[in-house]
Amino acid sequence: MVTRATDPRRLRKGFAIGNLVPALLLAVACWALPLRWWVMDVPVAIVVLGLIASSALSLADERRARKLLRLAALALLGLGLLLIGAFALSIAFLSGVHGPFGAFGMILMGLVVLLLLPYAVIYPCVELWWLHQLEQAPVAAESRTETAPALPLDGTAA
Amino acid sequence: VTPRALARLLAAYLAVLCVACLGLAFTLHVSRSTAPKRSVVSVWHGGHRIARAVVSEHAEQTLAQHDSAPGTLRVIEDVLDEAPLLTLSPALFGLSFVPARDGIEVTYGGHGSLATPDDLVKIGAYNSSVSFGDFKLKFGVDAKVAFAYFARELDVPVDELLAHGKFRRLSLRRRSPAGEVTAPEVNVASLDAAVRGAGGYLARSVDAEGKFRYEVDGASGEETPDYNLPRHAGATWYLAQAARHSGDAQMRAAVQRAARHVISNYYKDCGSRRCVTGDESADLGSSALALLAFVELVESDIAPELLGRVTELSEFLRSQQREDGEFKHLYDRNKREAIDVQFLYYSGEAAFALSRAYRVTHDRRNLDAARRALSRLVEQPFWYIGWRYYWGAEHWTCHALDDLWDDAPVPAALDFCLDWQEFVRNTAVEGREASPEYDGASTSGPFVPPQLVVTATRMEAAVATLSAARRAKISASRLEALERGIQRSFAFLLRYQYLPGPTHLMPDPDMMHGGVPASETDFHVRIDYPQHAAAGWVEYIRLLQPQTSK
Repeated sequence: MVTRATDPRRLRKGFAIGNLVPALLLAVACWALPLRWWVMDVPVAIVVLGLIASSALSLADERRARKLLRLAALALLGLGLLLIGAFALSIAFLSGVHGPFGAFGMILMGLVVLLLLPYAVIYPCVELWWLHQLEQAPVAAESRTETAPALPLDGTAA
Repeated sequence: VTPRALARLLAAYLAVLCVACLGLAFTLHVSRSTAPKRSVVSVWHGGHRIARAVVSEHAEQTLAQHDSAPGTLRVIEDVLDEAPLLTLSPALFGLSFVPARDGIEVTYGGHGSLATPDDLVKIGAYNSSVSFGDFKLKFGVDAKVAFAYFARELDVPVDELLAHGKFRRLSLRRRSPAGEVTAPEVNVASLDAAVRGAGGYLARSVDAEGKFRYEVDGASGEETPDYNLPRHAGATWYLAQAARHSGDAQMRAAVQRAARHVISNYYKDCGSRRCVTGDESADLGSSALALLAFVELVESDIAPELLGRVTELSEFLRSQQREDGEFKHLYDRNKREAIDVQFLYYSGEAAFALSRAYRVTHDRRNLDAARRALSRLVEQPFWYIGWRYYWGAEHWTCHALDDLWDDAPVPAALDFCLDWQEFVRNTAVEGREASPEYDGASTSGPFVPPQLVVTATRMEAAVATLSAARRAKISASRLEALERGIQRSFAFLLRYQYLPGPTHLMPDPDMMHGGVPASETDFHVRIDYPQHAAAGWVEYIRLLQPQTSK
């Protein structure tokens, strides 16, 4: 049974628009920093542009939407893991040099993880999982749903 | 990508990352509590190292022949542990040392050289900073300065040294002269010595014309060419307090010269009123702090003739106040009009100065202006979501709170200062592994030595808050927490005041005596550093002596 919440078409649109959120956050977070460093700027710029492009193309081209969303999710996940890895190694480096640095370090670490994890790891993982689920479902399901009439008000459909 | 494959990938990534992090931290870690492996013996004279030996035993006897020479100090530092460095890239190299605790050892072509924290202070390797716009961060060791030092020591070009030299980090602990293991006691005697020391430092730095030696690097003896009029006035204010507290003739004479310097050079017309300025654009802070100093000089009877100036400057400050209590911080002398802009500190300084002026002028307009300004200062901006978690530098605000409490109390200001002090206590340094001596300091970040002036300003505010809170009869537990925080932070400040401090690194220790440096590794003493620290100390002495407290 396909509900409004599991309707592939709606979800595809949701993820296409949803990609703009991490794109915006990454762009703001990166360019708000007062220091420019190409090692940081270039990958973030590529992922941000990729996310925006995938959103636009997914909305415009239904046939290629899955592929584009998958590519964008993988890129975002890759960047998220890269950033978390870099951050964890930085903390390990500073911890090795200075010893445990107490509550301040823990707060800082927690804050960065909280900021990164939902947008750059959990979100693309959910997106990839959904895309996989979609592939496993009969191909006809999506096309039938996409051409189906508007959903009834009780939120269910045959 | 199947969910199972993704989960496996993430698990593998997490495992590799954990192993890499643990391995990195373990490789770079040095112990600070093991038995010494060897000792570095250095002999210092007149701020210069004149001899050095690295020995594995009998350190006490090594280079002992220098002990009899006057003005010479033999320093023994134990090497407790060592670790490799991750990289020689300047930024990461700079971050690879705990300032004031770690040394560097370099071997090249069978020869070795070593830099202790004392050496790094002397070569200015701790003075580097990275600026992000207006924000300045000090990081560990300046790699370029350190590389140049080792290249000189080993007589090899820097590039060659970096290509073939082997660098290591050393964990050092000073054995002799032994540092204080426990925190200094905070009592009337220790505070009195500190207050007199800071006053003496400032008095000695006032020249015949009344100008302060503005900023001096204790490690090199060099002066900074800058000057700042509000800071001149602030230092004059504290010097007047110190002269009053100690009755010292040299301080009295110096503060009179410093006040005269303001009047002779900077006391000018601002429209129909008089103000303190060195420019066509008069700032509020210079007049406010000069007013504060003049009130102190009148009250203490050091310069009662300044009462007229107090009245004039009070009028100028009041004329700059808006209806809502805020001040216009500039006055354009050419256009004869106030400019409605605001800068850090000035409103608090004006509120405090007007409150103090009321004491000697008994003009209720000053009291009313101060009360309105204070009420405005502690308003919580509803549009700023971080207001519960962020405070600016509010020491002048809390001074004003204290001073107004008897005649025009502002309860909201007391809540504000108490909350701020709770924040200060909660964020103070506690149990930093490499530097337990920093306990109680207001932190400038977990990886740098705390800047003393940051703690100093917060503590002068803490003492003012304690003074008002006692009279407001707040709960005993809150008073106790506030006072415990003050004692802990003052112990940190007292530890690093130059009484006499590491004199072996100073070319002129007598000149620096009583000064309060920027930090343990930055020997610069600017005139406002002792001012802020000692303004809190002198007030706390009054609170510790009930018969003289307010």
